[in-house]
Amino acid sequence: MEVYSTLSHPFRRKILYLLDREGYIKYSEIMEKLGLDLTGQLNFHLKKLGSLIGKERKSYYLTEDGKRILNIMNLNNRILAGEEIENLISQGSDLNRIGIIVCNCNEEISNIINVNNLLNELKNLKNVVSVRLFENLCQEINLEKVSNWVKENFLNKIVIAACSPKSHEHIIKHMFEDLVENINIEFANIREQCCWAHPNHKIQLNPLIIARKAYLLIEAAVERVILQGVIKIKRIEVEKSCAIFGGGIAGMTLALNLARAGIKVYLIEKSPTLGGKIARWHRISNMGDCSICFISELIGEIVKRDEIEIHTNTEINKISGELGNFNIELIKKPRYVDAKRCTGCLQCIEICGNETLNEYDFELTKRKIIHFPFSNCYPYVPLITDQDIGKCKECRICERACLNKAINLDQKIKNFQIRVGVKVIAIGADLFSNLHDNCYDPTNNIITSAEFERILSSDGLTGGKLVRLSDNRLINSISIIQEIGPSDYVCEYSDDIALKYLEDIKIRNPECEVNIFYDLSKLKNNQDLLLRFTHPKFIYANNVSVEIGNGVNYVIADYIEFPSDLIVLNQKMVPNKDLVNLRKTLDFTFNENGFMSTETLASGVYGVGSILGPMNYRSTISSANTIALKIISLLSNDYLIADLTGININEEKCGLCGLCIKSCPFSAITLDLDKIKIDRFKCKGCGSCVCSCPTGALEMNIDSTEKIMRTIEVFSKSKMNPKILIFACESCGYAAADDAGLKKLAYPPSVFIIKVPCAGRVDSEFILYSLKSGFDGIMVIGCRENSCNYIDGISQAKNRIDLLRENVEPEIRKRIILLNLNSIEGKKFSDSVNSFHKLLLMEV
Amino acid sequence: MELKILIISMTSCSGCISTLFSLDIFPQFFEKTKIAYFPFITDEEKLDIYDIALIEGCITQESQIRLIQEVRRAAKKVYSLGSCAAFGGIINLSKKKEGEPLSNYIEVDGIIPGCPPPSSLFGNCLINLLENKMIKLSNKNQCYSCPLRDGLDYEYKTKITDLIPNNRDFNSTQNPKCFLTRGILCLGPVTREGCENKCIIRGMPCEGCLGSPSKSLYSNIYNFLSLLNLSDDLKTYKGIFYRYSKPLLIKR
Amino acid sequence: MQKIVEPCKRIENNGNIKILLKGTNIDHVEFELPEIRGFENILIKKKVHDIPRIASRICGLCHASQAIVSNKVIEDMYGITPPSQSIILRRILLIGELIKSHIMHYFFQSFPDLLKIINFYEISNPYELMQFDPQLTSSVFDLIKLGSEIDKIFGGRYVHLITCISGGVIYKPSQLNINLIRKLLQKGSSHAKYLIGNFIKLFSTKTPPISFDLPKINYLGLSNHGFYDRYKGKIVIKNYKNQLYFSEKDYQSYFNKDIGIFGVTFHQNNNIGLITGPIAREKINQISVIERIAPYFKTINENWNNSILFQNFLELIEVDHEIHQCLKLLNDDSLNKCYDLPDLGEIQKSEGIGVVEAPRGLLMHHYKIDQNESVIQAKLFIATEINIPLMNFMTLQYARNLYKKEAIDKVKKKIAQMIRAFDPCISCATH
Repeated sequence: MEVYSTLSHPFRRKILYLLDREGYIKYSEIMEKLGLDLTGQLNFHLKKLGSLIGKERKSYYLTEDGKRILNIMNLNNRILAGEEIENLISQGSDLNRIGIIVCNCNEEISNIINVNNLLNELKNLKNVVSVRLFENLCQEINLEKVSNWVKENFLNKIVIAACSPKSHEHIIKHMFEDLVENINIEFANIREQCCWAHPNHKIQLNPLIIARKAYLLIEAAVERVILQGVIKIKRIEVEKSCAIFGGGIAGMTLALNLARAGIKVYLIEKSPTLGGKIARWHRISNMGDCSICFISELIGEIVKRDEIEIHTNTEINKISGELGNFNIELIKKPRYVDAKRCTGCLQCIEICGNETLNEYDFELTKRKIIHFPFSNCYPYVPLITDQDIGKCKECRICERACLNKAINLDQKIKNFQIRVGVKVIAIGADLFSNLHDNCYDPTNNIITSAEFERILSSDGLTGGKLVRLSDNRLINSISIIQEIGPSDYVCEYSDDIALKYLEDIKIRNPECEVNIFYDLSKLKNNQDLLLRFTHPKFIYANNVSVEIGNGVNYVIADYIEFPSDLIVLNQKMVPNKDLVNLRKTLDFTFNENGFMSTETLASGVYGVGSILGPMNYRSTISSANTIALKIISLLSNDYLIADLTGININEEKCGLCGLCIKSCPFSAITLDLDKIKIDRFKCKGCGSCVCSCPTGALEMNIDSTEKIMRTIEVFSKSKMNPKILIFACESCGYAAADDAGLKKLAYPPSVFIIKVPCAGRVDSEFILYSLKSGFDGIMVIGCRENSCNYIDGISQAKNRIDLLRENVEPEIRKRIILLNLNSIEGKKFSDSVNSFHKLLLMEV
Repeated sequence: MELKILIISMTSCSGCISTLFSLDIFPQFFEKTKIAYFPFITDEEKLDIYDIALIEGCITQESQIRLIQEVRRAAKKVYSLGSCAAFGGIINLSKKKEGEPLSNYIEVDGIIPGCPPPSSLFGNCLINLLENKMIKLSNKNQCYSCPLRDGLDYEYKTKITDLIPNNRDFNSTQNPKCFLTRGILCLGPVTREGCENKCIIRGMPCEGCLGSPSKSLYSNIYNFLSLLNLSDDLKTYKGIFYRYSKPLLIKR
Repeated sequence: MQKIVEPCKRIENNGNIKILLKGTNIDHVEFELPEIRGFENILIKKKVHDIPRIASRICGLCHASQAIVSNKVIEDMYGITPPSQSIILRRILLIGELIKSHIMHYFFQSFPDLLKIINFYEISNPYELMQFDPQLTSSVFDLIKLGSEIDKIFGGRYVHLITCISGGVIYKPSQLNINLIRKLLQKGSSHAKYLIGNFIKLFSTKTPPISFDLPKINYLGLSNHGFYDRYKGKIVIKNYKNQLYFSEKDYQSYFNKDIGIFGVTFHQNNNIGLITGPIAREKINQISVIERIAPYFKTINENWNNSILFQNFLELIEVDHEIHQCLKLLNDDSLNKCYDLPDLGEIQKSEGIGVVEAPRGLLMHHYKIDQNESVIQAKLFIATEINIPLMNFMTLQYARNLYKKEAIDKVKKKIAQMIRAFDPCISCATH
């Protein structure tokens, strides 16, 4: 780099050029020729040139060093053309000074082929400046040697011909960290996929053939590294804060965890109080505490922390930005009571003359219009809902009664903004509420589990006594019907709840008969249920129904009647109804049951608690802890850099057809005001979109189409027949090929492997172009269907190749194969390649 | 200086030449150049030296290969005129015959695609040639300028069952929606822009005659159709895949 | 035996003149087509809806005829009739195609020959041709433009029309466009008049060489109850003493062809005894008796009547006639009305036949389809295919006569003139 800076000034380059052309030049002549009139300037430049020039008898000349530099840089012509070196450096790709290292790997290579011959041949490759042989490149003692070699030869791109990149890529890239850019290092896998894979082949092979393959592998790597351009890196400053939507148990636990790690947290709750659903519960399974006490304790801790800012009665309006830096616009709805002035004296509630149904008790009791949602709620400030405010504005008694002037019936909506690094959704789940089929009727003692919690709760409907809602009679028989709700999934915690109820009922009335029913006909995966812990009180029936009787109702399980004073319908958790709307502002996907999918956990949106599926208390807490760790580690970065393996868009070519949006497995591509927008943090670099893009507007940063096409061209120079080209996905197919080499399972040297990030990257163009360039057979090897790293990359590849095979001539159809392997199936790999080779041998 | 022009046909329907005669600028083109070799209207027998050669039609015979190689030597610039010359053309729909693009045998300096080349594109190309400029084709696809793009469903969910709209669709006075959301196969997404969406505006879906802006048209068709929800009989309908080119011409 | 193969110039697409010399005699003369492209094969397994778009690609000059006849076959199979507006539009599209095709042939291909044969005036390149009579040249360009614009406005583009579908034409013409075309047609009419006048001035009093006279032959064409109509009518085979009328549905009783092999076989006539195209149309329907046109014919020397060169004059007459026809069609009320295109519905017949008169003569398609609505058999009867046997016969006679006096190089040039007079459409013929 020092040389670059020396040569960066045009005057200095011109001096070198003049000296090179004319030999000896006098000081005054240089002045004249450069058109300078200040000696100071010239002196400065001459000094800068240092050892590149010498002075003898008042004339300057080019030293040996200077000549060498000029020669190495091949700059003579460039100086003539007046090209700017800075420009060359910034363009990167324009200047290709490639060094090749062949690693002998303890003679593993030289045992098979003549390495010296190989080295000599490689020297003649285009743009190759130096070729070096190392015994064991991966060892640290080589670091200095490598460093000197790179510097001496002014190398900016490196090709490593050695073992598989899967085994030592990270070590080698680390070695070159400060020497060349990581993207400018290419690998030629001459060990696992060449020297180890061919010699044991049945037919005695001429080592020259293996050497030829090694040469082509390296040549292709050289071509690829030449084509590597500069990648614009996207850097984002991280806003070290987090927004949590939902102030239930999950949200609060997470907030506390993050606050303890010093992260600013905005806890945003749509309802007027924190606590979520669990605040209504009598107690939490396997926890002694009553749940409201437990929550109060948690809220107490949260309130104490300066890092946590709580916004109740607040909703999201708009979100913009990307991972690390989101801007969120929020709307705070009026509470009509000023929290700062209110002392919680209850004056207003006592004086209020308007009553309405209490939703906290599932509308089974009544409350005043101005009210606390529940005792011990936070914030402990009464409120009036928007539905009721009309009535209040006519009455205004409470406003006059409040001594602190805390009540303001004319409060307005407040808009405000926050900036955060990540967003978390913790809005929980809903309970299944379509209970028609189950004869739900609280006045007739058929109630939901949530209502039953309110019966058990000491501040609840019956003051904690086990009596019927209809006639206050002591309950002597209770039937609990489990798993009321969608049949597609099972709530794992339902057993716990039933056992909790059993315990609570027995405390209140030891004589009470309790039966707990499972209706197997309503569950798709009922065998899962049967494998679980069973309790003698659990009745697994093939059919459970409710029949209404006179004064007493019956549960009928497989034709047996169970008279019940009370029937409890244990509701399942179903996806929160707000989830669909939230998706419009927050970016996530749904799983098959309509809950939030965990696959989306990478785009700066996280989910905790039962938003992800039915969860009990413990699972909720543990999900909050896991996510907290992820968020803490993410926000510990000062800035984020998008992955270099991703894609780039050239808007000049984009025609807005949106095929990339369709093909992206991660929804990383969206259409934003007639522009295709890529979320670089969601993008995992599978390349499916590049393959689907018809205009070539999308291109991969590393595995570009041009590189792959060029590799095909180089490999097609092999004269062995029949030639097979394999496109192998990095994680499975390529690893399987390495595995075959590692196990020394032989296959013919006319087989060439091109690494692609995912089988979904394999464009029809690659396959057809390979066949056109003279390959006899094409294999595409991807992951097994359900284990694709990129969700549906392999199935996209399958669709594409199936369609292609169906529409080419039958004799070509045979030559295209798609294979699913996992990374340790080296044996299957070599077997498949060998039988394919045999088939083609008969054809050719 | 007058440019000396050569225009010849290989295996073709003469539609491109017929279009040439219809162009608004044809009389000027005729006057400003010297059309020296054009079997359609001249008697010239021997090849001379030309500035520009326009070749229409695809290659189906040995003798044509020799001829275009001669033309290549005789002309400074050679352009493929029409989709047959550029991609191979409609003859590839045949099971027995294969039409190859000129570029399989000679180096061409540019293509004027289309079946036939759209008049505005063709006209602009000729003007560029007269001014000694390169032919410039759009890098984008049909969707970019498509009047029906507003109705495009970016999830591409609709099942594609038809090649052309039902006649009833033409009777409705409502603005039509994107073909792909109506279950009609339109190759617009994989086809180069540059015909002012003529077919689409007249109510017919794009057939892909202008070729693809990048990669080859057939590769793009495979890539594209594999993303669609395509009915089974269209999946193997050769009329889509080989309409203007054949993916592979095995010559062994 | 010596074989001479020479590309024939100034014809549509490529074709060779092949001459076999046996000693001092000409043994054989044949117009050699480069190859058959195989559209009858291409259409197999294609979906019915897709056929017209492919069929259009048979020829870049007769594209409208090919597409329209193909649509007629499909309409026959589905048992539907296009609305009257669509039929008018189709007729207009056919007219546009004919104007362009005839004028291009007349001016660029045949006119220099006429000057040479009749007036011994040599024209060696298109630039000389254009300077011969600048007003003629500008009329020609205007007429080509007229034909092109008609097809572009009503059909969507100059060649390979977009709007021609089975069931009708997807186009509701605006008054603006109708007026535009009307203006162009009126201008075109005066150009056509000039062209005819020019022909009469140059050639009418002269006598064409006797070698170009047609032998006693049959004429094949369409006739709508004795009137000139290129869109619908019965097929007529007519000679100097009698004539046969039959529907295209019964064509197999009179002629047929083998798929994929060049040539049409006529059961009752030898193949060289048939001609289709402008001459046949005139002989069958006699547009020469139309009041407006008749005076032109009166000025022409009678010796032209039986010459193949007369086709050139007839081309101009047809252009003039069809321009007037088109003006009438533009005034038709149904052009402005809104008609719905009929739905194809269920297939009625597994076989269909359709016929029109293309600029170069009778054009007929015959398809068979299966239950999946894919074509299983296609037969295409092309005008040039019907004319070529006669053309070969006449050129052979001509060449033999010439070769007695002239060198083979001159013979080649002269028989090329005769071939051009027939106006062969190679693209169609190599379907």
